[in-house]
Amino acid sequence: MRLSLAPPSDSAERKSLYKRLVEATILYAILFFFALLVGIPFLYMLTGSFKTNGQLFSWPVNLLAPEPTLNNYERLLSGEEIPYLQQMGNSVIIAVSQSALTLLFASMVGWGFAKYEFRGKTFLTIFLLFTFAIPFQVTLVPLFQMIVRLGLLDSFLGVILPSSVSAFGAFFMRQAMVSIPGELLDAGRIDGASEWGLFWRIGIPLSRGALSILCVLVFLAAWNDYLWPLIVLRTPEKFTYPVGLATLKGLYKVEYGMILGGAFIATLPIVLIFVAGRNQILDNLTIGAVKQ
Amino acid sequence: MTKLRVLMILCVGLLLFSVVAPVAAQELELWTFVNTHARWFREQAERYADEVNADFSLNVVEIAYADMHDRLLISIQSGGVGAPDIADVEQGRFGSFLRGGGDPGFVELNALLDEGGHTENLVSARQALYTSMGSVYGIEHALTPVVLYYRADVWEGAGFDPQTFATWDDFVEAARAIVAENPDVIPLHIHGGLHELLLRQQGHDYFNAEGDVTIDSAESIALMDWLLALKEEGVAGDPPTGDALWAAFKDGTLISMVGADWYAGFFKDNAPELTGKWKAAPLPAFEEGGRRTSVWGGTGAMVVKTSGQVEEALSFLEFAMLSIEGNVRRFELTNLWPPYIPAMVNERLHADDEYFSGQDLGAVFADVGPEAPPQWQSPFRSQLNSLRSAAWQDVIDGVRSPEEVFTEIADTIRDEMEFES
Amino acid sequence: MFGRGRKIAPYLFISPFFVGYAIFFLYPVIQSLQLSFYRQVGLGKAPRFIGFDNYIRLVSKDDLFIKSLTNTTYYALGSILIIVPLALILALILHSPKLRFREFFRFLYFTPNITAGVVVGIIFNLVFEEQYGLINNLLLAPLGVDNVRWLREARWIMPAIIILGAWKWTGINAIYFMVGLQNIPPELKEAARVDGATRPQVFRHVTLPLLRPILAFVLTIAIIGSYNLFAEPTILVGLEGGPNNAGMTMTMYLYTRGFRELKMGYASAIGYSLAVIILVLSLVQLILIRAFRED
Repeated sequence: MRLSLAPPSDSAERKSLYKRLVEATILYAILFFFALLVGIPFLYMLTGSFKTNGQLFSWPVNLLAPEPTLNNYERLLSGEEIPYLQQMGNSVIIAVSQSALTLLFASMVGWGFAKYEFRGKTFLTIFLLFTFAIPFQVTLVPLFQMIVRLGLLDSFLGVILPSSVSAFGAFFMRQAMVSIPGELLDAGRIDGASEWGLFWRIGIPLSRGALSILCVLVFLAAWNDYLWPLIVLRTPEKFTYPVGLATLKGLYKVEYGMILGGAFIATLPIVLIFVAGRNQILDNLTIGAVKQ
Repeated sequence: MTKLRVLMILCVGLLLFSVVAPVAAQELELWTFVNTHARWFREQAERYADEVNADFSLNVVEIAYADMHDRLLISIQSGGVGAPDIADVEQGRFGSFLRGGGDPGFVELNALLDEGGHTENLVSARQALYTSMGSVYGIEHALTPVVLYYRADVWEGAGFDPQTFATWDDFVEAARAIVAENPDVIPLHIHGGLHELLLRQQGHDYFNAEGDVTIDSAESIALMDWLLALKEEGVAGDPPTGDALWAAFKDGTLISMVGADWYAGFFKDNAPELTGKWKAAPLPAFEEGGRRTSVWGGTGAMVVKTSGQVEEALSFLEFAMLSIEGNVRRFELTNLWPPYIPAMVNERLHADDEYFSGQDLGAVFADVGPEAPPQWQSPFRSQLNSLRSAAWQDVIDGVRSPEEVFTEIADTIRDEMEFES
Repeated sequence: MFGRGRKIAPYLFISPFFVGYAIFFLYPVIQSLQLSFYRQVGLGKAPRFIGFDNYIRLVSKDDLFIKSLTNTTYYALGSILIIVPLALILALILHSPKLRFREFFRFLYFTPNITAGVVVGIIFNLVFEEQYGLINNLLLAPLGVDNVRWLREARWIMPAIIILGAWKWTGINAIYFMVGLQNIPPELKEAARVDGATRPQVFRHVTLPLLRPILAFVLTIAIIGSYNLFAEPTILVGLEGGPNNAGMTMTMYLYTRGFRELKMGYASAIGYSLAVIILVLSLVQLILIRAFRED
């Protein structure tokens, strides 16, 4: 099917301007309709964060905030209910460290697989592929018990470490690095570079594209994760922001305005990052995902 | 290229920095899920610092009900990581700490209660909720007597005085008249705890004294059928939840509440607009001369075993919860009727309550308190509660019969008991 | 640091990953299997070996397990049936040449995907609210439909979660399909058109078959995503899944047994059952896609 908004090509049928106009209108209408469906809940989140509970639960429903109040933000940021700023800071620390560690491990193992022949390589590859299909829920209980034994419960490391060895990342980096020409490495070796030097000065820079995609993927997953931090982190001062927000939801009196405010502040930076690098990130993300 | 490397090094540095754990503050931590309790605990902590130990400082943390119990359980399971020193444990969730028959992780209070001469000062039926195999783990906050709260302006305006309702039949008769006048009004709303507390008013419960599950008893099923028949008739109804519940109280859709002492504080917190419009009366009995109250809810304060300051925590609890002053003050702040017998006769419990139309609310609780029925703890109570609340809407909506649902729940629990025995 | 030995270098490169992988994945996977043959309930009680009892109980006696399995499958099927056609339509429209604001739409549709599950759950609490919610008031009321009790009535809970899922995942899948469409050489379609094929015919015989790899990818991700579903329904209806446990997914069930009731052995058995289901479903789906290729 070719839904063309372009002028008719000379080989094609002679379509009247009218028909094309109708077609275009319908297509844009569909797109705008879906844009509304996607956008309105976000809009409601934003305006709701400026409303009191009474205004949120009143009739008729208003998508805007005619009498905006900053009270929700004041109370949220003052730490009256939860230390929210600190929790967002925790999320930053965890997401950044997890991205860094994952990238380091994945690029090293990817490099090893892509650029070297060694005994056991085939076995390890098949083995990794096989375990790749095991969902992480299987590990949840023993991993929790291990974290307790290691004394890592209620620590950032307990959240970060188990998530930083990603089989997906390993494969992803191997695919990206396999195309780096061997001659470059041989030339490097002749110049006296160490194996580590080759990885660090040639491998890493030449797979920057793949690394940035993996970085975004891991960062997003860590920033938004709920289940594992919920299990590992035990005190509000250590919570990540999703765990913190969720505690507000269950309180006897649910302060929706405050929760929406928190949700908005946490979503904004991610959206801004994506707006800034939208096309590059989006294209790479999807291509990277589809490639595997 | 160099930028990327600098970035990676920076990230690893940040990671190392994050590993250095912050130093814990030298104060006691207390977890509770009720804001009224929190308010009272904070005040008692100040009083304790003034009168007993000037260095004492209590950090009262309010955490949502399900969240708090889940977190406490995991903390105890993992050797006290992130656990508080003192915790409020609701009786419905205490069972999950007893599950499996292991050590629940709280300090045994027998010595404190016996040696301090407190045991006979506490209502034993309430303490039973926090007792397992002879060990007492908690001190009850409230006797939780159930009364009938009602909108005096509405009922009296319609020519009825709920104080004079001797039986539920009287109540229903009056309710019919009110609904006939105004069909939008719900005189009796079937909230999640109503069936349970009315069942206890009749002298039954979801578990009996031997720990057997009895939610599928003939009495339990008949009671639910009766409530559903009232709903069918329009006298009883299904209330909205969350914020919409308070909206319904405020706009006059809901004109009564069969609730325990702690509900009085909830009214004041959530519907201050209705000051001067409410009153409370003893529950109508099921038969002439029958019991005029029930119990609903209840929370025990417990000291967590892994606390580094067990002595201080116990001393604070004794000061606050096993004293006339502490108990009386709790009633003044939160309307929780003391389960501490020496405090029950204190005159400060009988002040006129502005919110309840100048009524002596304490007199109503004092009146029905001695009749409060017992309630039995079971390690399976929290599981039964979650099964029941999952099936609740089906029962209310008439999708499945009470008999079917209650039998199914009871069978599940019995099976579970057998599996774990 | 690595010397110059090309012999040992690869092992040094791969060892950090594999050491971590062994400790944080393989060991728990094996440990979990072992645990699943034990009964361990509550606080401080020693585990007792019970063979296959946990598994037998799961499939023969545990209604809640069956319910969470049914719920999750309902979600997977429902969301796939809504998301795939919608995403394909959006992708086809977005793929039209000379479309204005393409980047804007593409980005907007993608946004729900980068929003945390907890945040989405919170927003949708207000979307599905009975009296003051967006769907009942803005979509259904104008159509004259009475308020739907989305989160209160068991039969509406899963549809609500499916709507949430569609909202969150349609955009990203549309983008995946767009990539697939871009990879189809325009000459192929041109050739078919020259041969006299109508637009639907071109779609049916050229575009769709060539989208098959993307479809396989989308379906795999959808299946795994469905069985991982946790944050959104937890925030929407609570950990027990609300009325009739209608919103309880398998991961939520595992969490409540393991971390609310402390049945660690039982929870491990649930984890393994989940793994088997995901493996089987992914295989079935791959075989089906391959079978379609034959026609």
